[in-house]
Amino acid sequence: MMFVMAVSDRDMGGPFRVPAGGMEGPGPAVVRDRRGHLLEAMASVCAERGYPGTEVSEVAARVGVSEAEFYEHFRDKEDCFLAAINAGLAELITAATSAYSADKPLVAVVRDAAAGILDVLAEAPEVAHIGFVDYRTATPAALETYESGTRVLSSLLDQLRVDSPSDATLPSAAARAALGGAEGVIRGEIAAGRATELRESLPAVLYGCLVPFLGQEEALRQAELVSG
Amino acid sequence: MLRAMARAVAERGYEDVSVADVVEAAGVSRSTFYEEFASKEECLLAAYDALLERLVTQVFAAYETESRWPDQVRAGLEALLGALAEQPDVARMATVEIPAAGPEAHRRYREAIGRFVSFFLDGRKLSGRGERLPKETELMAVGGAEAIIFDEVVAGRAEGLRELLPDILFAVLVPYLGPDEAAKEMRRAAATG
Repeated sequence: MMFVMAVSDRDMGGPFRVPAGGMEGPGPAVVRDRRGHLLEAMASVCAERGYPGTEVSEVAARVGVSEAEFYEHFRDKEDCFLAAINAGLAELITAATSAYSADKPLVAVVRDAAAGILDVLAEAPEVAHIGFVDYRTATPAALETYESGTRVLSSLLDQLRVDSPSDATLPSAAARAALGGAEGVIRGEIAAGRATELRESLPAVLYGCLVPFLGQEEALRQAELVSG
Repeated sequence: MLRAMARAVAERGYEDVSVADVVEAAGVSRSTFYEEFASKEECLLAAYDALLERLVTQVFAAYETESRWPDQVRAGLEALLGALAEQPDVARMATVEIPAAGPEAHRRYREAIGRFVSFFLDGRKLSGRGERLPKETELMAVGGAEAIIFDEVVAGRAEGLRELLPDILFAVLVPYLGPDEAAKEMRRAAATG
């Protein structure tokens, strides 16, 4: 899984320690790999057993390291889980923000951001699983991260309000609801074991994000443009 | 025991609740607990099934009291939000704690959400765009409502869920009817609520 590895390379700010022992211990690159592998293992064990059923011993065993070594990288199970989540979230935010450019219509930004997010999730189905299924309710800190993530994405979507051709006053929760609709589609696919085919949901996700603001005809037109 | 389980989980979170807490709150012995349930998870799932059955029955009954589809959806949502608002601890258990309690619990949560999907099939007919609407539109409508409810419950405002009926109604109707019609229904609900 490229995805966790790529992020873990950058993720040096965490409780990462080069073991003492100079030439005896593994070098920094190996330690970084271990950390990345542990994040990966955390995601896959969680995807199978859910967060409460996940044991540090199993995560360590999958990577072939001792539990003691696990605790050199992470304070505890939650620390590792949150690091896996944050690595995934960083990747999603990068996918969303790289879609943005000042001279691009907002609809195109939303389209490219949605496509980028779906691609990231499809490439790392286990991370998608912990991100969308186990994540938001697993621990209070995870929940907080989820809520702040949705606030950021809702406010991006809410900018579509100015493009709305409708005279109707939309409810203040319109963007949050549209995002929730997209989440519902994504979560449904992941729960059904179709995370790797998430890109096929782009038309639906895009339709859901656009319809409150642009109306059905324009939202359908945009969805049909990206289908197939 | 089911009620004790629901309350303990709502107060402290699933991970921190022990079988001892549940038997103490319910005033039964440990052996009585294990006669009924193999594990803590099984007790939680049983509590959840009972809750769901009640909710779904209430929502279906309310839905049937109306004949126009947008009114049916409004009535169903009213019943759902009313039930959640009356028992904020149960609302928290159903939306936050259960999904966190492992894959089996999460599967039932998805299944429960899935049972509401059938309400929306009529919306597809009514939309006049039935075939063109994405096949995931039902998940979208449910997801929109779920997101608003989830945020309120997490923020500790489950008691006030009824006030959000117009917004939630808009969220559910908009993929089917578009923003103009959905906003009209939203205003009607706000005026009569």
